[in-house]
Amino acid sequence: MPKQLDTILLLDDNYSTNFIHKKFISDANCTEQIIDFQSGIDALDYLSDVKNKIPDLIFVDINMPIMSAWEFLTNFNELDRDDTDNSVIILLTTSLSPKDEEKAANISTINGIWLKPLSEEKIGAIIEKYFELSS
Amino acid sequence: MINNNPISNLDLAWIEQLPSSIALLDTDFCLIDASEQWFSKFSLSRKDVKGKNIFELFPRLSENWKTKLEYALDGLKDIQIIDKAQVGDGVEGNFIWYLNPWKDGYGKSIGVVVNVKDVTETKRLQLELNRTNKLLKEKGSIAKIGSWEYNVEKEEVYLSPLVQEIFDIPRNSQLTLKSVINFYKKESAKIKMERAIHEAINSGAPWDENLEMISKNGRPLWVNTIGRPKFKDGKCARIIGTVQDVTSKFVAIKNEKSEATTSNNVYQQFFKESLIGMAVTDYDSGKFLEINEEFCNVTGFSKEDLIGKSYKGFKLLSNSSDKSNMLKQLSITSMFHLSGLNYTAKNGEKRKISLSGKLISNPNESKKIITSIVNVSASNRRSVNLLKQVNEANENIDKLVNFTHMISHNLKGHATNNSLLLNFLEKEDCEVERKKLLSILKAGNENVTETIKSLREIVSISNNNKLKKESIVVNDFIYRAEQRITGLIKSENAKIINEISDDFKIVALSAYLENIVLNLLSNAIKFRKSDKTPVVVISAEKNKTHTILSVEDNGVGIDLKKNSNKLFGLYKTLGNNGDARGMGLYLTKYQVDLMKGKIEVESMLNEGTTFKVYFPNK
Repeated sequence: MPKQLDTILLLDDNYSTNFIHKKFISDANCTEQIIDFQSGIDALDYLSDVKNKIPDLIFVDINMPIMSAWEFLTNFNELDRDDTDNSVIILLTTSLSPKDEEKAANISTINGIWLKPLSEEKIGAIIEKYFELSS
Repeated sequence: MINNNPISNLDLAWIEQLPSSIALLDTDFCLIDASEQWFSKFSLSRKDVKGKNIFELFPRLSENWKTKLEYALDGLKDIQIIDKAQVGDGVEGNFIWYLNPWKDGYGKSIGVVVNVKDVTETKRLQLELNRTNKLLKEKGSIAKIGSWEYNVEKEEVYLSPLVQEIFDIPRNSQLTLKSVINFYKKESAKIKMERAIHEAINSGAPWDENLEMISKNGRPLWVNTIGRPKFKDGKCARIIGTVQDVTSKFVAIKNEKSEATTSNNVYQQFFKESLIGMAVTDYDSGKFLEINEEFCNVTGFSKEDLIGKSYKGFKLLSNSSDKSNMLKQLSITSMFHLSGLNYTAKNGEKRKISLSGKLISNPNESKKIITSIVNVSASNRRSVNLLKQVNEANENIDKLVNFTHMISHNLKGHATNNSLLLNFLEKEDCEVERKKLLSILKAGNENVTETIKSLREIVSISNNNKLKKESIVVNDFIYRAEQRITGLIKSENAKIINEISDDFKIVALSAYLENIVLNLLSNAIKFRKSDKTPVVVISAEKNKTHTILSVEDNGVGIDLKKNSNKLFGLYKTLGNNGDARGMGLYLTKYQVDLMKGKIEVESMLNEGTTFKVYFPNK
C-alpha cells in the first residue's frame, strides 16, 4: 500500500526531540521518508537544492537558537523554487504563548501550531486535518 | 398536601421580563429567580444558579452583607451597598446593590429583593449610601419611649412595661413617687424633678428635661422625661408623661464636647510641629498672623521677619498671574492650590514650592486664610530618581519573566523527552537500538545537568549582589581559568597568548571576573574553525573611565547582522555543538551589567571574534 505522504521534514534544535518524533512518525506509517535537521541553516541548505523534493509536511520548533522558526520561514518563502507553497507547515512548541499565536496568525504560510511532543495520534490527526480533507 | 413555603405559591413569571436587574432571594438568601438583565449582567445562566445561595454565587461579596440582608428581612427599606462582583471570566464590575424587603400580601417578610445598578454618578450614590449607613446605625438604637402616670390624689405611680425595662425593675412593681425620684443620680437632678412636679401640681406647668439616672441594676443612663399635669375641677388630679432612653445620644454629644474643648490644643500642637510649612494670614491685609517653624525653613525668613507683615513683601506669589489665579480659586471654592511655583528664598536659593490655602471665616472674627507651603524641589529630584528606579525594576521584571519562561520551556521539553525515550527503551528488544536510546538519554541528561548548573550560577549571582568590588590582578584569574579548561585546551590543541602584564589590575568582583574570563576563553576555543589551530589572544588596556579586557580568537566568527540582538540572550547558543553552554554569554553579560560595565563584540563570519569587556575604574 503506498504511503500517504512522500517526505516529512523535522526541524528542532534538540536531537532527542527529533529522534522521538521520527519514531512516532515511522510508527504512524504515513510517509516514505523523514528527514531531520537541528538548525534552520542546515534545513535551508537542503531545501535550496531543487534536486531535493519539497517536503509535504514540515514541523518547525518555534524556539531555536541562531535561527528562530520565524526567520526560517521568511528564508523558506524566499527560496529560489516555486513549489514551497506545496508544503504544509506546522509550528511546534512546548507551551503556547499568546504572543507566538498572534505572530503565527499573521503569517499565511503557517497551517497551524501544535504542542509537542507529537504522538502517533497527533500525527494521525494532522494528516487527516491537512491532507485528507484537501484531497 | 400542605405547602408551607409561601414562595412556591407565588407566580413569578413576571420577574423574567422586568426591564431592570432584579433578583429575588428567599429568607435563607438563596436565589429564587431574577430578571434576564440580572443574569446577563453577571454572565450567569438561570438554570445553573437558581436556588443557589447569594454568597455562593458571589463569593467575594464583603463581610457585612449578611447583616444588611438580615436588616432587609427585618423590614428596613432601601439599603444600598456599593460592592464589586465578577461579571464574567476574571472581570469585575462595580455595582450599587439596593436591598429591599420582599413581603407577601399580609405584610410578612418572605425574602429580599436585590436590585443592581452600575455605579455611574458615583459621587451622588456615595452620598446616598452614607445616608443609609446612618439610618442603619440609628436603627440599632431607636429610642425606647415608655409612658407613666402619677395620680396626685391617690399618690399612686403607674409605670408602663417599657419604663420598667428602662429602670431595670420587675413588672408590676409598685413604686412611690419618692422612690422614682431616687433613680435620678445627682442631687441636682433630684431637686429638678421635685421642683418640676411641685410646679406642675401647683401652677400647671409641664416639663421636658434630660437627666442622668442610675437604673436599679446600677446602669448609668440619660433619659428624657416629659410631664404634663391634668386638671380636674381646678385641681391637679394627675400628671402623665413619657420617659425615653437617650443615653447613646448624650454620650455622643458629651464626646463631641470634650473633643471640641481639646481640639484647640491639638490644633495648636499640630500647627507648631507640622512637617508642612503653615501660616495663617489675614484675608484683607495679607499680613502673617501665625507661622510655624517649617514655614520659616521653606521661605528662609524668621518669625520676626514675617509676623505682622504682608506676604507680598516676601516674593511669595510675586508673579501676577499666580496671584490672580489664587484669588480666582478662593472666590469660587474658598480654597486654592498652586503647585510648582518658582520661589527665591531669603538666601537667594531658587526653590520650587507648592501652596495650598483655605479661607476660614468664623462669625465675629475677621476672615483668615490658612496656607500650607511645601518645598517640592527635592521631591521633584526624588521623583526623577524614583522613575529611574521603577524603570530599572521593570526591566528586571521583564528579564525575570523572560528567564522563567525560557527555563520552564526548556526543562519541560527535556523532561517529556526523557520520559518518552524511557518508554521506548522499555519496549525495545533490539540491543543495538537500546544502546542508541541510552546514548541519546545520556546526552539529554547531560544537557539538563548543564542547564541546572548554569541556573545555580545565576541564582548565586542574585544572592551575591551585595559583594564589594576590589582592585584585583587579572592574570591570577586568567591562569586559574586556563587550569580549569586544561582538558579543552589540550584536546583542541589551542594556543593562548596572554599579553597582559602580571601587575595589571582591574576593579571587579572576583567571583564575576573568574566566570567572565572562563566563559570568554572556553567560547573562544569551542567555536574554533575545524581546519585551523585555535589561537586566543588576551589583552587589556586602561583609559580614563574604563579598563578594557579583550579576548580575540580565530574561530568561526559570528554573523553580527543576524545575531547581534540575541547574542547575549538566554539560550542563544552559537552553533549547535551540543556541548555549548547555552547560558554562557547571558551569564557573562549579566555579571558585567551588575558591575556597571559593558561588553562589545567585533566579528565577521569565518573571520574570528573579539569580545571586549569594559570594567569601570571605580
